[in-house]
Formats: sequence, C-alpha cells, structure tokens
Amino acid sequence: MSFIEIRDLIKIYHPKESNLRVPALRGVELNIEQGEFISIIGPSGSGKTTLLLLLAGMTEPSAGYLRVGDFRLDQYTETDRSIYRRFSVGTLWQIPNRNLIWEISALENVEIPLRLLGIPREQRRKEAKEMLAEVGMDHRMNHKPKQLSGGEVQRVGLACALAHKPLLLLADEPTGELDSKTAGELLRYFKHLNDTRGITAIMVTHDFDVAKATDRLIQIVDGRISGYSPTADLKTISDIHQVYLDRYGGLQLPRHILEKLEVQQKIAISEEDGRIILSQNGDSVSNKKMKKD
Amino acid sequence: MSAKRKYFIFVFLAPLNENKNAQVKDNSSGQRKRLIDVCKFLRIMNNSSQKSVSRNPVVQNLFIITRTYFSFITSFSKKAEEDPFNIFWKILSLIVVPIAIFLLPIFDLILLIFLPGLHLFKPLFKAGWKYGLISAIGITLAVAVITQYVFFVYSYQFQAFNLFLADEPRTYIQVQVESTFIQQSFHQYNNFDRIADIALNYINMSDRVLQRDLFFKRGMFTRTFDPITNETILPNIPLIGTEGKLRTYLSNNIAIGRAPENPYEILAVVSYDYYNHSSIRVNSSMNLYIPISLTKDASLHVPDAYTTVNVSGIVFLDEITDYNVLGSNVGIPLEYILELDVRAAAVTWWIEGAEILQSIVMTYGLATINEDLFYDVTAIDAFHLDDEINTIKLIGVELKEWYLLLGSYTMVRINSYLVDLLENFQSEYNLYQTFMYSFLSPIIALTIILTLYAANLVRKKRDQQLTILTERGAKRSEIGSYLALESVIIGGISLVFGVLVGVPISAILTKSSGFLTFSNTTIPLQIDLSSVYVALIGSIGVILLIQILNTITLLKKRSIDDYGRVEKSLPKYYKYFVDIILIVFGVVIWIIYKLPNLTDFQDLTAKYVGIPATILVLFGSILFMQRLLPLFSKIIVKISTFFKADIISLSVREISRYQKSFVRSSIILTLSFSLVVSSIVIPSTYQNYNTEGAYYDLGADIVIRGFPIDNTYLKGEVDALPEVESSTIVRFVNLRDVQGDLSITYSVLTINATEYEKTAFFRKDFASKPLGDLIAQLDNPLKVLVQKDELDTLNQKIGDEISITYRAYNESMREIIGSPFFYENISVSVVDSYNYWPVLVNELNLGNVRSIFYHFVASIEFMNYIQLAPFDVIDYLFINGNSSYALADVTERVLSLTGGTVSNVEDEIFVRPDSPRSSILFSAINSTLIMSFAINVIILALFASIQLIDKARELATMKAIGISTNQLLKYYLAVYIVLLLFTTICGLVVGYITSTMLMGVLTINRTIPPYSMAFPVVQLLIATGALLLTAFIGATIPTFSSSKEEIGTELRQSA
Repeated sequence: MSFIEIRDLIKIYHPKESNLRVPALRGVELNIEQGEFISIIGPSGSGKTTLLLLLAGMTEPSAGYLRVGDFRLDQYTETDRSIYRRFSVGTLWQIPNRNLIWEISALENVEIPLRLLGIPREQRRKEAKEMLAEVGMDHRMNHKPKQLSGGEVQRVGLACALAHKPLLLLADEPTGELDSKTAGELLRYFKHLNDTRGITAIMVTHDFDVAKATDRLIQIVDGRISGYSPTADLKTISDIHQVYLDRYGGLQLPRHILEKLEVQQKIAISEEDGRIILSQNGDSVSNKKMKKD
Repeated sequence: MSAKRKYFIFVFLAPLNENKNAQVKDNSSGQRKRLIDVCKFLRIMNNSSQKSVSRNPVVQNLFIITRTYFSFITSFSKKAEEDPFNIFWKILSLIVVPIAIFLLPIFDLILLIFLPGLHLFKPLFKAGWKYGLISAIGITLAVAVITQYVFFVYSYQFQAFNLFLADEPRTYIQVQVESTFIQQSFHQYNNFDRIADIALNYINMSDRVLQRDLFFKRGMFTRTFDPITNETILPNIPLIGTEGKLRTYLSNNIAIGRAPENPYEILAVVSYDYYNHSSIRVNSSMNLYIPISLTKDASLHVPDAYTTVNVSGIVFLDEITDYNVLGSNVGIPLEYILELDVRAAAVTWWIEGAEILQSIVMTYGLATINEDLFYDVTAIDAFHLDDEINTIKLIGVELKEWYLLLGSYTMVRINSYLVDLLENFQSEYNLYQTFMYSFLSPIIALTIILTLYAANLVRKKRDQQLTILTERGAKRSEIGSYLALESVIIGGISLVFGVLVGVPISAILTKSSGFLTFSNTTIPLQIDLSSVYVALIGSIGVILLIQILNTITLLKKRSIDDYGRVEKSLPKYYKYFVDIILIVFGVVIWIIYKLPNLTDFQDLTAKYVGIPATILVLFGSILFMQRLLPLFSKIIVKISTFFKADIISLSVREISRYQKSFVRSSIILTLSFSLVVSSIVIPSTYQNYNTEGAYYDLGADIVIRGFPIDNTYLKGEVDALPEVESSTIVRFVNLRDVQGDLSITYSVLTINATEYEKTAFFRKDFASKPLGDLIAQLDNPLKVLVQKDELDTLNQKIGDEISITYRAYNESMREIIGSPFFYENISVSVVDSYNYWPVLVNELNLGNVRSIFYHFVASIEFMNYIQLAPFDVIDYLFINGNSSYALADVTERVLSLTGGTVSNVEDEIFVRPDSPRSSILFSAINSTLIMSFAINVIILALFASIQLIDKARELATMKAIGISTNQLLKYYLAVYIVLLLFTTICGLVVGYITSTMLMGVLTINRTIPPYSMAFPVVQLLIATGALLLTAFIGATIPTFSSSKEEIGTELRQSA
C-alpha cells in the first residue's frame, strides 16, 4: 500500500463574491511511496498548490479519495485536520512571511510546532536548537526574521516545518524567491533531510532545474496529472527542453536558455513547416547562435 | 452517527488495532481523543525519544490569583479603617476590587472553556502585542469617556443640588393662613405651632424638619419724609409680630436703640437704602395706615384709621448675618424668611403686634399667620428626587389636613419653594443629562468603531500570524483561547489606564464653565464607590463588546484560504440601503417630536424621541454621504489629470479601487469631525440663544421693576449718570374680560416711542419693519400694534378697529354702584403687526378656546384712556447701559440711586458662566470636543501608519524605479488629503444638521425668541486647521522614515 493514495480527487472553489464555481482539481489520481522526494510541476493555475493544500490538510476536498498514511483526509473535519497537521505535516512556502512570524526570533518560531505538541519547555528548546543546527542556523537563532537573509529565512522556515518530525514535508516553490546559489543550498538541505530522516517530501516548482533535484516529477495541467517522469529520465531529455503551454497560449521558457542566449524582454515568434521558431529581434535564436559562433 | 463517520474511524484505527473489527465507541469526543492518541503514537514511533505530556498549571494559578485578590481586599479594608482618608488606597481599592470581582470570573471562565490556548500565549503575545496596543488605545479612550461621564454625572448629582440651593435660599415649607384674627395671647401662637408638630409626628417626619418659626404679617402704609428727594412719601411696609427664636435673633441684631418693651414700640428692620430715603430713626414715631385704595401718592386721600408706633431700635438688613437654622449649616437671609419685598418692616412681638392690629379699626385684628418649617436639606438624596418631592408634598398635605382638623383653619396655603426647587432641578437636570447622553452615545459609538477599525487595520498582520499557527496545526479553540486571554489582558490594562485618564479629565470637566474654559468655582469632583462600580460595569461592558467582536472577526474564518483575503467588495449597507432607512426613520421620528400635541411631555419627548431621531439622522447621513466618496475621488482624479498631476491622480484612484476600506475610514473620520463641528456650533448658538433669551425676558440691559414713574427727578438722575446711555419708562397692564367660560386677556405694553427705540432690545426679525418705523406709527394713544398670528385669530387686519371690553376699576364708583369694579369698552385701531415683542410675548397660546391672550403695544398715553387700580399696572424703567462700563457696575450705580428691584441682563442669562448649569452643559460639550479631536488625531495617525505598512511594497517598488522623496510624499499624501477633504466637508454638513437638531432638543422648553444657528467660522477654521496640520505631520513623519528604509528590507518585510 502506497504512503499517499489519491483517487479521483476533485476540488472546486466557490468565491464568496460571485456565484462562479472554479474547478482547481478535476480528478487527480496519484500514488506516492514513503520516503519519496517528489516535485510537482505545472503552469500557473494548474492546481499544484491546491493539491499541496489538500495533502497538507489545509483545505477540504470537494470529492474523491485522499489518504496520507493512515489519515483519511477526505473524511476529516477541520479539527481532525488540524490534529493531522500538528503531528504529521510540515510545510514550507515560497513567501517567507507565510513560514515565520516576523515579530519573534528564529528559535521562538521553531518552538511553535513543539509548543502545539505540548512538549515541556526544556525539551522543546533543546529540540528547536538541534533543528536549527541541522539547517545551519544555530548561530542566528536569536535573530528575528527581518534580520536574516532570504536564504536564512527559508532555512529557518524549513526548521519550523521539520521541528515536530513530521511524516510528510510539503513545499510550495521554496526556492522561488531565492537566487540560484541559495536555492541550491536549500535543496541540498531538503535532499539531506529526505535521505537521513526518510521523510516523504513533495515540492511544487516551476523550475526544471529544481525538479531535477527530486526523485520523481509529476506534471499537472488544468487540474489533472498529465504525466509522471522519473527525474533520471529528465536528464536524458534535457536538450529537448519541454515547455508548458497553458490554455491561454502562455509559454514558460527554461531560465538557463534565456540566460545563455541573453534573451531580453521581447522575443519574436514565427511558424515554419509546423515548427514554432522563437527569435530575438526578428532573428531566430539559432541564427544568432550561429552568428556568435 | 453516520456510516461515513464509522468508516473513517475504522480505517483510521485499523493499523493500530490487532483486531480490525474492534468496536469503536459511538462518541465523537472519544474519537478525537483516539485520533490524538494515534498521532502521538505515530510521532513516538517516528521519534524514538519519549516525550512527556505538558503540565497545565492554569487552574492552580487561578486559585492563587483569586486568593491573592481576596487577601488584598481584606488587607485593604483594615488599612482603610486605620486611615480612612488615604486617597491612594481608596482609588486603588476602587480599581482593583471591581477588576477582581468582574474580570476574574470572566478570565477564569474563558480559560476553563479554552484551556489549551495558554501554551501559545508567549510567542503570540510577543508577536502581537503591538497590534493589541492599538486596540488598547481605542479601548482606553472608550473607558476614559465612560469614566469621565459617570464620575462627572455622579459628582454633579451629588453636589449640584447644593449649588442650586445657594441660588434659592427659600428652602423651607411655609404654612400660611390668610386673614386670621390675631389674639393678644400666647395661646394662639402655641396652638398653631403645636398643630404643625402633631402633623409632622403623625407622618414620622419630625426629624426632617429642623426648626419651626411663626410670625404674623399685615401690610401697612406709613407716611415718611425722604430727605434725598425732599418729598413726603407713603411706602408700603408690613407689620410683623413674632416670638421665639426669631425674636431672639432680631434682638441680638439691633444696630441702633433697643428691643421693643411695651405695646406701640417697634423695631424697624430696614436696608440702608430704605433708611436713607425715610425719616425712620430711633425714637421717631411712625403712623401706620391701612391700605384700602391708596396709590403711592401721598397727596391722595388717606383713610382716618391709623395708629402711631414708636421706633425703639433699628436692625439693618445689610448688616445682619443669615438666619441660621438649628442643626444645619444652612443660613437664610432674614428678608426671605419674612418675605420683605421692599426691604423694610415694622417688627414687634406677638402680643404687642396683636394689640396694634386691633387698635387700627379697619384691620379688625386680621393678619396672615406664617409658619416656616425648615426642612433638613442636607438629608435630601439627590439620586431619589422623586421620593424627596413626594415627601415634602406629603408634609404639605398633612399640614393642611391637621390645621383643618384641629384648628378649623380653612384658608391654609402651603408654599414650598423647596418643591419648586427640586422639580426645577430635576427637570433641568434631566434635560442636561439627556443632552449629555446625546453627546455621550455618539462618542462611545465612535470609540467602539475606532477600536474595531483599529483592529481591522491590523487584521492583515494578525491573519498572517494566525494562518501560520493554523497551518502548524493549532485548533480554532486554541487560537480563540489565546485571543480571549489577550483580550482580557488588553481589556484589563485599558481599564486601568482608561480610569486613570478618565478621572483627571472628569475633574477638569467639573470645572467647565464655558466653551473650552474652566474655572474653580463649579462642582468639586466626588468619587463614590457606587459611581466607580457604575463606571467599571459600563467600561467592562464596552470592553467585552469590543473584544468579543474583535475575537469573532479574527475567528470567523472557516478555512485557511480565507486568511489574508483583501475585501474589495462594496460596503454592505449600500446594498440594503441602511443609510436611507436610518435617515427616513430619523426624519419621521423628528416630525413626530415636533408635533404640537406632544408639548405637554417636553422632557420625555426630548429624551426618548428627539435624541434618538438626531442620532438616527446623524448616522444615516454619515453613511449616506459615503456614497459620494467615489464620485468625489473621480472629480479629483479628473482635475489632477487635467492639470497633469499624474502622481496625485494615480494615488487618488486607489479610493475607487479599495472603496470599502476607504469608506470605513471615511465614516469614522466624518463621525468624529461631525462631533467636533457640533461641539463648536452648539455652544455658540446656545450662548447667543441664552443671551438673547435674557434680553427678551428683561427688555433692556437693566430694568427697574416698580419704578416710581411720577418721580421725574429720579429718572432725570438716572439719565444723568455717565454709566447710562438712555432710559425709558414702560408700563404694562393686563385688561381682562370674562365671557362665561371664556377668558380674554389683552396684555398691553405702553411705550414712549422715541426713548424706547434708543433703549430697548429688539431684534430685526421680531417684525417685518425696523423698530423705529414700527413704533413711529403709534402717534395716537389708541393706535396699537398686534401680534401677527393673534391678529389672524381675531379675524382682523391692519387698519381695523378692535373693540375691547375689560374689567375696569375706579374707587369713586364704589359709592355709586357699591363696587369699584365695572366693565368698560375701549376701541383701538390696529396700525401694524409684529412677530415677537420682548417682555410682552412669551408664548403664543392660540389653540386654547377657554383662555385667549392678545398682546398689544401702544403709546404710553394709552394709560390715560383706561381705568385701572394702580396696583394692576406694572411700571418699569428700561435702561441702556453705557457700553464702556461693565454692566454689573452700571447696575450697582443705578441701584445705589434708585433702590428697589433692579435686574440686569447678565443675571438673567439662563446658563451663566460658572454656574452649575453651565458646568453640566459645557462639560458635555468640552468633553465631546476634546475626545472627538483626540479620536480624530488617533484615527489619522493610525490610518497613515497602516497605509504605509500596506503600501510598503508599492513604495519600495517606486523607490526602486527611482522616485524622489518629494514625489513619494506627494503620492502618499494625495489620497490622504483627499480623504481628509471629503470628510471635512461631510463633517461640516452632518455636524451642522446634527447641531440644528440638538438645539431643537435643548430648547424644547422654550420656543420664543426664535434662534438662528451660529456658524463660528474662526473656531471651525482653527479646529479644521489643527486637524489638517496634525494629519499632515502624522502622515509626513512615517513617509520620511519610510524613505530612509532600505528598499530590499522593505520589500522582503512587505512580502
């Protein structure tokens, strides 16, 4: 039996201001094994974050089957889900403000999940310090988040997410606001914790490079799983540069290509023999490359 | 339980139970407990280290806290006994004890219900105390407002009555039996007094009457020579006979001579002035006459019946101390006790007085017996005035019955100025209290709205914190528990600080003597245990209301998705037309309030109809005006775009984008601004109204009532005074006609046209023509001016002749028809009409069919055409003071010359500075002004700071693209100033409407003269300017500090 089992999961939002019904997930089917490190990738509005929220027990599914370990999240009340979150889930979000309370120190932030478990003060403090040490932040534990750099804030956020030793770690674009070096460091921590603790980790990202750090990639488009790829395969197909085309025709180009070719704000697009050609200032990218060479 | 639920438990518990078919208890709390157990188990399995369950010392601590409070209270009581005047302990106890009594149970209850939340307290309080502090400011203000009002009202209630007593010294009950035969023995004296004693004993009220004094009184005339005017005059003085304490008091106060020792010796009790204007001296003789048909002219026929008495001694009224009532520190001037209108009397003892009365043949020994029962005013409970009034009335009723029963006195009259005093105090106090509450309720509402508004401003930040907690697995009950605990702490702190702020403010309020003026002569602040409890109960009520609303607002989120969501929708009241409904209701109630049928219940309608209508219209119009905010902002955007002020245009567009948020700010700013406007407009209007009302009642700067109009020498002397600009004689008479049930009264004020115009008070709107033109038409003695509405009811028009029938008096008719009274006709010609006339028209009684009044103005020669008894005519001298002298000085100067009843307009003003009336009126106004101003400043500061937090990212982005500090300031301030401008305009409009309505409530007891609303431009400009300046500084400082902040830090913090 898989650690996480999702069958025909549907989530529909009902915005208060209108009578509209917005389907975010339209029947997701997914199995995840214990100790796996998964990345979920997909365009904006595809339902990645919703899936994450459902797995975190932060929102109620509209229909379907959702089990994490022994927890049947599709049947829980809010109070049940809060108990599930308290004991079993750690979350890390892209926006630092959502991970940490800005007005208290790093140590106090890490202590919060342990307080919720009712752990006595001394033990709580000891565990929080150990956790901060594990993410390399023990030297700045008395600093408030605003005194830390972006990467440090996310590391403290990670410490918070893991302080209560959850079974599942969920991260929503945790490197989104970080530079590539800091992002790389954070991902190494992720991997390290995944390896040493055997925590099942699921990370939402837009970035293929980030996704490569995980064991498996799940693609999600328009609220449905569109494909599974072991990230080992990704390495072999990296030259093809699969990109996602959203329903409005929007493309997200890989960052390293953009950087390599110094593509600026505008890019020209043309169609030749059923092929789409992207070029800078009217020149095709390939032409420019040729000229450079 | 549903099958689904059972399935869940089954699946959930399956791995933990060896027997997969184990029975599950059908109990949801049991399930939850097991869920927690499972989670703990999983965690333990996942983490090899064993962790103990946290201890919870809350209950234990609660017992300790409660025990400490009780021990504190107990120790305090001992200390209080040792040193009852220790104010520090008193105030401390008054604060701590109620907190212990009222707050602790709530505290305990909340903790017991939401016990789990305590472990979140430390980090959350550390994170959220700043936001709590913002709420605390609002709550502190609310508590301060309540405290100051309650303490003030209590202080006023306790002590203002004594100040009222000072204005009216006649604090006794008077039994008066008219035309009684006075016997030359003590038997009658003692018997009369004994009946009062029996009556009081019968109703167990002897202890409330400290002392009784008995005297008889009979009016006399005496011929005397005035050496100053060099003429023989015939003043009216009473003959008084008394015994007991009064006799001793008089004997002890003889200034010259000695006490009477035999019949036909009297004490002359006179003022200096009277003494100087008469030939009354020690050992001089006085002829006493009986006033039958005498005028004050000595040349007229004087009846033969008289007797002569000798003056054995003189008591000067100006020298003697007040007559002290036994067992009380109340002192009453003798002239009030003996009712000496002319400030002179011939006083002798009971038996001697009776002999004098009987020796004057035409008196037949008849006089009025007066018994004054001095009521113990110190025992009056100012909080139960109704009971006190009933008690005094009961005493009156019993006295009357016992005098009838035991003495067969049928003509007993009970006069009690005390009842009038209590009733006046009560009705006036009710009116002012109503007035005070009418200001208090919007101020309290304002502070509550402020607090909720403040809480809402910081909600985004709080939401973030709570979202993190929720994501980490905190339950709503835990967050609720924390929030409740935080509320208790903030509420407790606010309560203490609110009381500490409120007490000194109420001490200042009690000294309010005018608009933003304070003096030491009014009511001392009195803090009483009961007032403290009322203040605290009120405050705690408000705190609970605010905190419960705050907690509910933060807790009402149903899922994490809701947290941090920005509300961009329109305010709900738009949809349901709440504003229109409030206005319609307010206007309808106001129309009901103005119905003439309700005039009989003025005080009640003011309180229960007028004030609610005003408040409904106030809130309705404030809400309604907010509908214009988007339009206003669009106009500003268009104007700024036209002038190419792009930054301003961009900034102001936000109003339309975040309409709900801006409307919320606008509502509270408009409300506080309206109150500032009202508290400026009302006192100005009311002060003018009072001054003009006093002028209207009096007729001129100074008025001498009962002026000897034939004494042209005296008038010449008055005119010659440098302090006097001009003077005029005015005569007033009532001509009465009774036709069956119908009584018609023609009140005629006769004037000297030339002098009257120069001297008397007359406002332009009192007539359609200028006064000069109006009275110039009175060139014939039988031409009159008539009140306009009365002319219509007479079915007459200008130019018509009106025939008046009236009851005339002529002594010479007595010999012909056996009575001096007869009916006479006179025809007058109506030459013009007026709307209001000072002194003459005090109310228009047009609807009463049994009693009709008409008010005429005629030339002074009109008096020559009517036949009336001299005492039916009231003669006045109107004086216009020289404006370079103080009116009090002018009055004193005139009084020294003329004597008699001299009134000046300053003394007639209803709400005089430094009076209790001004204190309660202006304390409400001053407090409202101060608090509204403070709230306005706080809101603006809050709004500026929060806007800055909200816009931090936007500002940082702008700075990143190179915007200058100046442009940044412009961008930031533009929307702020536009909002201020809008609320200022709304505040002026709404404040003015509210002021007009409140004036309608305040002046319900009196509709004449009509008043016009004042518009004190300078004061309003100062208030507006000060607010704008504060707002500007408040907004500029954070903007500058923001411009110094590093862009990166700012961006990250605001993410």
